[in-house]
Amino acid sequence: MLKFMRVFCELPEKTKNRSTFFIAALGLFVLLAVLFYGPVDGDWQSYGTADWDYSNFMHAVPAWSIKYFHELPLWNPYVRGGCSLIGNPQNPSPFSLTFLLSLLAGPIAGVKLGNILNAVVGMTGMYVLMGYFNTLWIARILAAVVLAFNGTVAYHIAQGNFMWMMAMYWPWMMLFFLKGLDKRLWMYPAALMLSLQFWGGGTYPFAFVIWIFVLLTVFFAWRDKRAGYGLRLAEMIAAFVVFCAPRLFMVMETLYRFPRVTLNDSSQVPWSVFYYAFLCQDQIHDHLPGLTVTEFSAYVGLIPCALTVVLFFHWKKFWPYLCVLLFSLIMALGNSPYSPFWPVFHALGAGYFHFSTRSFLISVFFVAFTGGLSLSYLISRWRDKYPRVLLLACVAVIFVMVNLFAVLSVTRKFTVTNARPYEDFQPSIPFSQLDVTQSQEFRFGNSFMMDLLLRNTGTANGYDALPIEPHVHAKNSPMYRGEFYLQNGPGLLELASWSPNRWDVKIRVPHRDILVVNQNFDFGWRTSPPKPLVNVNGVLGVEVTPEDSVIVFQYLPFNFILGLWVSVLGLIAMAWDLGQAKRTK
Amino acid sequence: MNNWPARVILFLVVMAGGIVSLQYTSGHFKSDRQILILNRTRPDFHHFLHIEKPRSHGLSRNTLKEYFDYFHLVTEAMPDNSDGMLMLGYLYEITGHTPRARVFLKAAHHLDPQFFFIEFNLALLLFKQGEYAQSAALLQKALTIPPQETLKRMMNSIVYRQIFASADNSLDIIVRLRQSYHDAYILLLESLAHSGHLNPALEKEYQGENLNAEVHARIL
Repeated sequence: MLKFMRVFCELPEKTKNRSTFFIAALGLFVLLAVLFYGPVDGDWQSYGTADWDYSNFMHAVPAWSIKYFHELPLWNPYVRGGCSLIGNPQNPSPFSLTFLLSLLAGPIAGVKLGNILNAVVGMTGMYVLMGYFNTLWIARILAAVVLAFNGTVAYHIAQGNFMWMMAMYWPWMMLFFLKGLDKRLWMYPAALMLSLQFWGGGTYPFAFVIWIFVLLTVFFAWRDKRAGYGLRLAEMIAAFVVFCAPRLFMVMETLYRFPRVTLNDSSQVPWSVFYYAFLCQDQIHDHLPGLTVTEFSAYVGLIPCALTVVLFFHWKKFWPYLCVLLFSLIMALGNSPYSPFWPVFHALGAGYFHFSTRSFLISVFFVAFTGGLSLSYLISRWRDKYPRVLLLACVAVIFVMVNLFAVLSVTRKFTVTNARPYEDFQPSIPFSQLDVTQSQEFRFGNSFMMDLLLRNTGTANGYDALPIEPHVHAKNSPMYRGEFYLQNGPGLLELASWSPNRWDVKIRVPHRDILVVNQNFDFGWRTSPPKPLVNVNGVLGVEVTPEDSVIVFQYLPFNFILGLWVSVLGLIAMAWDLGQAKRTK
Repeated sequence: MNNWPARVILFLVVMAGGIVSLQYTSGHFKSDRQILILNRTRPDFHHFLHIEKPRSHGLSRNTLKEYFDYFHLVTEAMPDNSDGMLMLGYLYEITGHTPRARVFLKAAHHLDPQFFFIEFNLALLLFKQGEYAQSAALLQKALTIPPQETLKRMMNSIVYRQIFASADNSLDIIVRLRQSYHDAYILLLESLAHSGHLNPALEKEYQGENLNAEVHARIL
């Protein structure tokens, strides 16, 4: 039996058909992802508590803008009086994998399928990345499993922060980035993966991965004495800008306009956080004062941590990766006197970020990566002397898998208990906006927005991570005068058609007046016939005259168009570069 | 450098796009941003600033920092707002940065020479620096402004309205205003006495003023 097991364990390395084994590994990853992320929240069409409502809402608005209104989702009229949708860094956009699933399967089933898909993408990426370092197959499997199933990711998915799954693109980015340091054209696929993450939404994973690349570039340049790596990184970032300029410029505009000013109020996190986050089997209780387990959990278990520690004996070879790992761990200590990183990160992040322990997302990535490297090294070193070491490694990896599944199954308590049935969107209901009371707002979690959205109703005082100030009057407010009204005098108004990004208003006024739209003012709106926009106490207005019969409002912001131009011109330059490189080859 | 023209064009396109985007964004949304930051960073104003005792202000380091940050933002966003300058002048004064306090109070006075509290605070600073004649001149002018006008002026100020809104409900602004006028009067007597311009009638009043010790404790 033992002999059979040994032969079986060594089979993948002896097989000549690597693609067959890759497909087998892919099958395993799909199975594991379905087993782990499939049962989240009971069934496919119900959703849970905390940020589930907000996240589903953010997937639903763009998906339904396309599906029911057949338009590019640029404006979100459903939250806080309206704001740019494409400019909100948390929103998924039409060019992300998850969003396509939301479009096809609906926003709720779509995000669940998206979690599975992203987990598979991440595990496959880690498998290939480890292959780049010539590691053994079992080490690749270990790294892939630890990356996709750890406390950080599991808890954020359980709470509805699906954007954290964008970290699953990191192995691919890292692979192309490392290749790009040798051959610069590989920086283009690295930039493509980075832009896929950016189009997918989420702020923390994006900020973290930028830090990772900046630090790695500095460390590699130091190690290899090659300052040219800086230029490579700049090329990667330039290509990234080209791939996502329409969204990037809109995000810059939105963040500039609505800066999320958070005080650097992160507490001093005690050193014991490392035990409770990475090793402690009890991932239910909040062991640390002022921190919930959902914020600090990064459970990976003893074996991956021990393997990572072993790699420190190869400091000379792997110090850049280990330094980034140490950086992320120390950053988690927050405003501790031992950690200068968090205040720096907070300052450079323009005050957007809070909870220093979120840097564990970087940590678990590097624990997975270095743990895999370490395992492969140990097996290679001892296999000749102790032939059963590979078998032992297989047992250990299976144990890690089972342990992660068992310990992190507690994360489901967040979702199943508050699971809610899915209803479909009703676009035929005329659009309006409501203020919800605090009790309603927190009835099913952070907000009530998804429920109202289903009835084509916006939440005037809804939640958004950005401090968007609503200037509209909700339907249940005594100040409400309608979604469209004339500021001063009499006249006739009729809404000919409505969609999130475009409103056609038929109008007849006896004299000059201001047509007011109950949406926040934004310079991105245009009217037909062209008229200057008027800011009426924070909401959108336009001057109308007796000659006007129809006013069409359309949201098409300058930065979006500018971004399109940059993308087109940049893609031409990149195509030229690639063509030239091919010819030279 | 392989195919440098394409790469240079790539960089130029990205940089030009970024610059145009930043210029457009800062040009159109700067005031939105400033107002939002002001609203988000506004401290709680548990302290009624310059109407309270300056010397024993009792403000913690963090609270002071909040006030400083906020009023610097106010003056940045609204350079013509004298109240932001006044608050900064007051804060610098109570934290011992007298030269900077003087700059801000002078700037505030330049912007609004008809506001009692600006003149009072500037006069107080000048008095402490031994410029008694100038202090007396300012206080004489300040005391010609009716308290009703001062109250009206404060009610119309966005900075003061925020302070009133977040201050304790029990705060009696009328009592405090009367107190400030009284303090200004005593300080005027002190300034005149130190500068040797106190006439006999006022000197009698000055000698008979029983509240001198209390006023000293409160404002000096």
